[in-house]
Amino acid sequence: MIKFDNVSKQYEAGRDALSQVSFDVAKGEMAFVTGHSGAGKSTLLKLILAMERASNGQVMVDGINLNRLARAKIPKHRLQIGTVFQDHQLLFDRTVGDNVALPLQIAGFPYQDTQRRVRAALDKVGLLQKEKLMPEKLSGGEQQRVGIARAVVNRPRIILADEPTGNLDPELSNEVMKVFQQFQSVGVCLLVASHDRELIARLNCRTLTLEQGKLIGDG
Amino acid sequence: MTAKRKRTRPQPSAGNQRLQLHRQVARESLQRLLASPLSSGITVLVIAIALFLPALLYLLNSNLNAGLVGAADNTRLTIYLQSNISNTNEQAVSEYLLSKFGSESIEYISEEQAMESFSRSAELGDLLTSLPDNPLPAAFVVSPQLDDDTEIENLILELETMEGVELVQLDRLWLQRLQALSDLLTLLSRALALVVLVGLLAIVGNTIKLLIEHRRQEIQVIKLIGGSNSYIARPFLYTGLMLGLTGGLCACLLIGLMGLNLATAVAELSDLFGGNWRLNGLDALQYLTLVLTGGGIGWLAALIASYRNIATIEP
Repeated sequence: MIKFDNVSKQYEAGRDALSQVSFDVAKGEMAFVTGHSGAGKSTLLKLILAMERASNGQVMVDGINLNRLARAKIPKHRLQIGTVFQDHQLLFDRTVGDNVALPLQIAGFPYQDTQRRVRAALDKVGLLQKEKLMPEKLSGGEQQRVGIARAVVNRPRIILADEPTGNLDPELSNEVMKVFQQFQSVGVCLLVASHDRELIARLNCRTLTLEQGKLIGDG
Repeated sequence: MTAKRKRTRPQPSAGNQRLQLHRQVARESLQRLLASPLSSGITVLVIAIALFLPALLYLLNSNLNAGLVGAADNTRLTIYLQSNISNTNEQAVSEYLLSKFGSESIEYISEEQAMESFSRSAELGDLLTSLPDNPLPAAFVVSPQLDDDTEIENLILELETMEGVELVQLDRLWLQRLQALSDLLTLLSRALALVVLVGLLAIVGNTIKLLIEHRRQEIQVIKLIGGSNSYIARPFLYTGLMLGLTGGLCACLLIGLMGLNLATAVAELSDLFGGNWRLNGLDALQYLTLVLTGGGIGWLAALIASYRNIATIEP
């Protein structure tokens, strides 16, 4: 589903943000990406979202070669991926419910369908009663869970998550991971960037370890 | 699968769905506009005034033209006869005119009648009567119902070659001058409309550009999630359309108010001059055109601004 083939990415400075990274995450598989900050996790996610293009090698997502993806087709590509951002990336001028509804609105879902799915997604992260609130009234952990609800509301085939449990206590982290595992069980491919060694160890998932842009561990 | 489908609620049709989405976007745009009433109001006012000016010029011109059309009906052709014209020649001219026009539109003014009316209207009466001979010629006055200028020209040429005709005068020069003035006004209002169009595109475009700039972060987030440029542009297009339509409506209001205020004044002025000019306002279709023009310009400006500014914002 997500396939990196000898991918390198250089920014202007000349240092490799990623160098010759190869891996393949299948349908229905959940993999963690770990490493120190600056190891290349963000670059990896940016490449998958087509925010950046690889300098070398090929990034294939759902059978599409992102190197050859036309700019006009990038939105559709991103719409198929549910992304949980580290800094949440919520819109603060609309309610929690409207934030979660955003991917459905973009995809053109009918109103009633949208409402139903938004409630289901908020229910999954335990925020159903906060649907009408503005995001700024929520704690950091709650905002993060709104971001997670938004990422899954569209029932995407791929979920990317950048530190999704960074602001959450262990109990809530487990809840979120359970949601992720539910998606995994219905064939969704998940790639989760995380520092949380304890959580990774407990879940016993495949782990890609990055160090200074190189993939030094896979398993 | 199909059996399952049938049990779910009836799905709205694709067209209905799209309508619903558009309505939602439009509502959002309206809410955003109302959230900053001052800047929206100023933009609307600028659009209204900018549309008002060429509309006013158009209105003046159309009123002038209406007056000209009325005056054209009063075109008078005066055929002055030589003082020594023979009866047969005079008969010939008279018959020729009768063959061209009905008898009711032909008036004969004899030398004596000319003298009489001239001395009545001018202070020169005494001077004229003191002359040994009446210097005024007899004349036929015709009101031709001819729209075609060349037809009138031909008629004049024909008459001028007739025996005993001194001079044929078309009472029309001032009409032609007014017509030229009206043509100039038409040209001016078109030029002004063009300037206004370009100016409004720039002004509304800039307003939309600022709105886009203001929502840069939001646009970045929407792009990250998969919103296309056209999805992001949609509320801005509605904003432009609404600003333009409201501006057009306000321009109509200005024109209407001005009409109300000026109508009585124009009527009074016209009465003083013994005329029957009345100020014609715009008709319903013209008001509608004004509103739609505003809306169209607003939409187009938003389209250009969105096209130029949204694509450059990248997450």
